[in-house]
Amino acid sequence: MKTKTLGNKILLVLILIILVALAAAMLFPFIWMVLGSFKPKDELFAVPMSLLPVRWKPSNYSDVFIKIPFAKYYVNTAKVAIFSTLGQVITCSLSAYAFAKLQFKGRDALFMLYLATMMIPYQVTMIPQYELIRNMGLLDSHLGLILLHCFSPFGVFLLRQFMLSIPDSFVEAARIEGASDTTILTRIVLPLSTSALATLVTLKFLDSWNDYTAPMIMLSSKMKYTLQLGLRTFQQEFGVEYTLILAGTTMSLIPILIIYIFAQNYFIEGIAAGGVKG
Amino acid sequence: MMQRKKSTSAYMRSQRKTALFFLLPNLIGFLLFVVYPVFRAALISLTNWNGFKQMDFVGFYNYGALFSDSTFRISLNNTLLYTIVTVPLSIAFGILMALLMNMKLPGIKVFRTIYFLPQITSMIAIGLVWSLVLAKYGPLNQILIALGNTNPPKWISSTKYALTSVEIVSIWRSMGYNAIILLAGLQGIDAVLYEAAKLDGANAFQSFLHVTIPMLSPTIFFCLVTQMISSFKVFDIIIAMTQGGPGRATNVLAYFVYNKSFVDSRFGYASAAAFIMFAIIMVFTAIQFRGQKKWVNY
Amino acid sequence: MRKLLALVLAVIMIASLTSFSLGEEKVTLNFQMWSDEQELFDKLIELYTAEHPNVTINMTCTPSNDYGTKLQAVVGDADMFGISSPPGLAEYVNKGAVLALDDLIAEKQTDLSGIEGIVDSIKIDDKVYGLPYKTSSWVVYYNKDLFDAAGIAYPEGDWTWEEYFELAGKLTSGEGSDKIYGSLNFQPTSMWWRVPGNTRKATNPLNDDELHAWMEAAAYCKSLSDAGYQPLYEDMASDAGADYAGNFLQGKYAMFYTGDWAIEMLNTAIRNGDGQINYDIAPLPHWEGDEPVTVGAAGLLMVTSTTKYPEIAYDFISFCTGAEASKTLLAMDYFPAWQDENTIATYCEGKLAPEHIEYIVNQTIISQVPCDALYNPAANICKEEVSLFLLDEQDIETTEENCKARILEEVVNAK
Repeated sequence: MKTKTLGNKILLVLILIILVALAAAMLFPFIWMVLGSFKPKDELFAVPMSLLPVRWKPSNYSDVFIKIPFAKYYVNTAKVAIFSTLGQVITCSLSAYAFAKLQFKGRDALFMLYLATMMIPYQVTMIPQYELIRNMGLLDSHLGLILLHCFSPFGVFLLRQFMLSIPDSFVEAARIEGASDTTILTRIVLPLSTSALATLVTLKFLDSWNDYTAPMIMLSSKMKYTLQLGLRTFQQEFGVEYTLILAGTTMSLIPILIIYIFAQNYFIEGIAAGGVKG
Repeated sequence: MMQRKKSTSAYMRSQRKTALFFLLPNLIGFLLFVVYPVFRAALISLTNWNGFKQMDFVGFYNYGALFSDSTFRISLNNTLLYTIVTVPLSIAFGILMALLMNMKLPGIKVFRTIYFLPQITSMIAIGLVWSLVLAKYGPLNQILIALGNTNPPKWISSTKYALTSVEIVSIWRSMGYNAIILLAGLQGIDAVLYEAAKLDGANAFQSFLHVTIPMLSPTIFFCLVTQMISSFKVFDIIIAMTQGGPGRATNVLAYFVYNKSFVDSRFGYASAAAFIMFAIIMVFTAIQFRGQKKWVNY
Repeated sequence: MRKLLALVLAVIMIASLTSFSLGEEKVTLNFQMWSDEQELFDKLIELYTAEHPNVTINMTCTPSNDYGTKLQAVVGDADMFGISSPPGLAEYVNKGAVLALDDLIAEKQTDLSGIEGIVDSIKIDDKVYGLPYKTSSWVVYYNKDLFDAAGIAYPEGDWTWEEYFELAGKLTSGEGSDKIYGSLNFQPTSMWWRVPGNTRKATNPLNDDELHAWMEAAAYCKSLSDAGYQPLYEDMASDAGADYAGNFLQGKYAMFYTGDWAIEMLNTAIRNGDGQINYDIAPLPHWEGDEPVTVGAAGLLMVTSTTKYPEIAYDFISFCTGAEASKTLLAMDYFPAWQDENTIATYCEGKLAPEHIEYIVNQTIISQVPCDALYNPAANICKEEVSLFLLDEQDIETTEENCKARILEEVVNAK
């Protein structure tokens, strides 16, 4: 991209200004959270508001480890998030392929059923879900949580939508050459959907990493708790340990950030695989 | 929805078999863990279940009673207003943001990461910071005063602006989410198309209108449907910022359902409210699916 | 051969039967609590199971804000559970989830002498469904340095809400970042504006008289803001107003009223370098012409109606609410429901701050919340309507009318 003319230069400056202004708006609460995690309690809500701590209190971080088994919760959360994401990506890409590239009776009706279940608020399915998991003997287990996450309709919808935009002619051509659907999916459709897959991985990982309600209802042993559940114990009956929550949250989101940055590389590969010169 | 191929019946049969094979792993789990609880909730909506033993069949009594419940009406109203405002704006801003994120500028990865931050910032921190930003003498009102507004709004402390406040925060948060999905869509657009448009003499805006938008339309459609569904179900942001208040100014359907079940122990009544909400979202979604033929390009 | 086999089988059977009845049956009980109480009950369970090695108690502690939600789902699978105030007990009794304890109390001849008052106050249809293990007690917290700076004597002993108002005015000073407020208030979505009404024994908004007293209490709280003695409610919206301990630690508020739990919060914060203030406590004020009284709410333990082991579950909760366990509560800075001369003496022992700690235990405590299943939904309505009043959007008469009408429509007639 070469920007030689004056008009283009002005445009570029304008774009940069928007980029920076938008970044500031997105960044502000995050910065406040990170800096707030280093503040003593009396400073967090001091008026007038100041961003930097006057007295730095890094011990908020060690206090999190003292008050809850934070490292153990980290491992638990990672386990649930990794397996939920894997299960979701595998089963959803299969289903999405069927919905996008195969003909069968009742396809659209079944797809609408997937969508329809997204429209019911979790508040009313929570107890039926609890009873189901209990009857399966999966209460207080990470497996129960993973199973609950694996089959959400969101992933099917997202991947179907991306696969629909892959031209049917690609699929038909391969079929004529005698490729099976499994081959078509793994060799043609999935490589062309890497950016969608990377998005699904990021968003699903984020979802199960931050999920609070399902672990709250399903888990009972303290050593099986997830990070979100552990951090909520700082919200007590008669007061909230805001500074500890901020410190714990800051530590908890590092993996999500890494996954996101990592997933971005696949966005670029998505184009390359599409056969477009860079 | 899709172009139908002319095919022999044997070919169709084999496709049906393959389809079943591909669908099954997800379908089994989906029917068990997702559909079954929804089905149970539908049954509960026809009873007076109190969360324990009492569970008498009451037919459609709950549904009828909801229509004379003023809190339900208010929460339905608020939810509709909230959806109408947040969905178009968060998608429009999301597209803008995705276009910015898709530019090949040095350091764009840093911006992409920053735009993702609202997704991972804790809801508590978001609620706290925004209530400080929206405070009477907070940064936002300072700007408004500087622009000559002598009586700036009281935001979350007033029934008039509380819902607007929640909408602002919600757009701020969800535009990044949509942008990430839209970015993936943009990355999938074949650059050849842009070059062809250039050869035809199209300027940047024309190629946006005639290449980007049509090619992005399946992704935009996805964002539109999912964003609408999640707006109807909005809950976390209400808990973090206003708890439905002041008064009932930000009481939304999911919050109503939550209160009726877990505070009032009226699970049948709450489930009925959820299914009325379901019917409304279903109508909106169906309209979108019918409408997509006109503008979505697969 | 066959006879021999039969004989061997018979011997094995008899042996297994006797070994079964010789040792005590191994029992595992499921106990639901909220996370604030984790340490206390870890200790009590340890003490109890040391005496009863055949019993295992699996306690689940859920974050406090969501304990109500969790309990709705799991109560049928639990053997025992706790609840932080009497309306919750009434709600679960209404559902049929709680076992009446009268027979077990009579059978085991449980000594209830130390908790009699509270037990009487939580009877439903003359039956006992739960036993209290802790209670709370409200006091006024004040910043001694701000009193000294203003040259005003500390509040001590009997005083009235009118005097509180006047004192708050004298303590208010300054402008901008030097502003000192005489009194601290809470976020408009909290329910604590009702406390001045509680001291008039108005605890249940389902009764019109008591609702009216709540409205007067709300008007009192707002008048403190209107006079400039505490921040405006509109400035306290959201969580910034909920962090009252953090706000008090800033040293810009001379007084506020809350329960005994704030002592531990303030002491811990000061110890951890989260703020430096010099504070003490005074009794909760009452209205001119009323008897001095303070308010509190009991934490309760229940046995579920679905338990397979009612006797063992009862044995455990009666242990946790008895005289012996009250020593553990005292050692962990709890205010036990069990009260005798010993309790009051021990509670204050060894506590350096606040200086007048005895005010927590030597006042008459009345229950702040009624044992009424409809209380929570009704109180919620009052919370919504009063928040409009506190934010200057609705006058007090309309607020009262709206509360009455909505309670009737959404709570009383809805059931």
